Amino acid sequence: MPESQASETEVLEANWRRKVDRSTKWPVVAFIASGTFWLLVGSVFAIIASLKFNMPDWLVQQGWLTFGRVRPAHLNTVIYGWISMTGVGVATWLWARLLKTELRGRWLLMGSVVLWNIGMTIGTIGILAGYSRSIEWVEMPLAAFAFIVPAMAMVTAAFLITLRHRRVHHLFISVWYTGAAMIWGPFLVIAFLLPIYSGVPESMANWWFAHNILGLWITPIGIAAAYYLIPKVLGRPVYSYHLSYLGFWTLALFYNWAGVHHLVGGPVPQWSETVSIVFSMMMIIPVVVVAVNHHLTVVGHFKKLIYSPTLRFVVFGAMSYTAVSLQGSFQSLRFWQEVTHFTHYVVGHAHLGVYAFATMILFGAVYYIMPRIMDWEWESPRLISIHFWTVGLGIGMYVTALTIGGTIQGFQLLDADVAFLQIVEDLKPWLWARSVGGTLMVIGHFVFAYLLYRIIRRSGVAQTGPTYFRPAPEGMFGSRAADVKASLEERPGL
Amino acid sequence: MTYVPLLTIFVILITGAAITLTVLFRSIQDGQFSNLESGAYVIFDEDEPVGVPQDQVFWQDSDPDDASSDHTSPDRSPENDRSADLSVNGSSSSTS
Repeated sequence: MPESQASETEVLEANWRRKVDRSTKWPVVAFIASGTFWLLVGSVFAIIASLKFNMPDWLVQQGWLTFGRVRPAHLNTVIYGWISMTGVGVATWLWARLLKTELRGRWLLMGSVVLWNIGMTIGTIGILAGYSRSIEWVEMPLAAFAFIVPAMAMVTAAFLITLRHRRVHHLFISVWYTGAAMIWGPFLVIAFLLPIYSGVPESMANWWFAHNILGLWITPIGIAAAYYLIPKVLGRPVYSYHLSYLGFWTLALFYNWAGVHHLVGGPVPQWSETVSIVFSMMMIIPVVVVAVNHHLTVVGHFKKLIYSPTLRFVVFGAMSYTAVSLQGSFQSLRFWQEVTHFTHYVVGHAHLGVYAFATMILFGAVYYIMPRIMDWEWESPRLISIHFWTVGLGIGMYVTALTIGGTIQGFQLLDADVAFLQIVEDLKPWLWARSVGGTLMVIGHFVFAYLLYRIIRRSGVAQTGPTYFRPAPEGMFGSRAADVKASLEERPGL
Repeated sequence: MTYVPLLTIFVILITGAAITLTVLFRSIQDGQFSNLESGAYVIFDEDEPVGVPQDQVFWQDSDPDDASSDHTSPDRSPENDRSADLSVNGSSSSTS
């Protein structure tokens, strides 16, 4: 065989990988496109809600546009629409690829997309129409969850069927995170929706749920994507595979004890708050493990962030995971809760987690996945760059403003000598910064949606290579693909 | 006072714990946690091996003569390039 030609094994593996990728195409496209639609809807609600802090008299004539409805509509559309649906899309692709088998239960997944979107539509309209359940993070009416819970169960079923047909023995760490999320997510929602809570226990269950839907549904999918994409793009194995398992099992054992620390100062048993605080601090173990692992995998290769959109978004998200998790652990401590509770600081923290960590990793994953399932490259590196800088700067400005402004607000609220109106006045510049940052993010979302629309339609000029922010030096990113291509052309039956 | 909510919560807790412990022990029996060192390499394939950064989907139209050009060379140290040592059960070799 000529030296330039690939071995038969290489051709087979490349061919099989493409087949596996393509088997996920329509469910993944449907979930990611739906998620992006809800991102746009949620973004519009977000910017309206944010501007209402700057212009309190704006859009107050109609009930459905008031802050009390628009804000929960934003939260529910981005959590259950954008993050959850796009997360399932990314997880679906990862699942098939890591199990090296074609996706099974595709009709279950397509049915899930339909049900999920119906549920989201009912839920969003329900909130805007005034039928909010007034339970934070679960505001959508029960009718919405009557569709979303079966949709989640159908995803889990499809994942289990695919798992049974896996063609690998060892389950990569991302499979553990993804599979666990597919069990934990529906489990959490069902456990909280049971009609057994009322009064203070309902509040405790509420914050147990709200905290864990982030940590045991959204977070594992984000970490799973990072654990696959960082080593894959860099061509380096995870720095310490042993540590990655320590991180997974400590997350599984510690995280679900936390949540009640959100009610520090409230009428809940002190011991339950203390347990929650202790386990929040213990979460430092899996967080540091993941942080060390990701950092030491990337170290020495940071230059590649200049070129690769996937790597830049994912590394941004991975670094934010460390930041938000450590912030969250210390935020649970009583002395700091007393300052930050009921302030904009908490909103900044939530966005650092859901956006700077999870959303940025999902963006990076989508940039990696879509060309592989569509057989079409991203059209414009310039637009991807605009997307990165608008959302990157936007979330940076947003979190910084609310962290500083919220801290000042917290100390002022504890000071009886400071008039309440003075606190409101002092918050104004920080809230304007929040709106500017939010506007940047919304611009980025529309750019991302346009790029997604174009690649789904396979629009633009067919490209001969990957889309980088700028032309990468030859050899920086490469594979034996050229050799394999030549072999495939000669032996298409393989 | 009704104990139904408390009992329900206990049932949920026990179910969750049972699932977790079952998965853990079956995984141990299955050998998922033995020889973890090689597990890190299952994401690499013959055509996308360890040591070669990979961020492309299309076949690169590279000129072999350019191989000597001045560019960052990928890390191909022997200790990193362990892909050949790995055997993946039920790998793609059964497909055609």
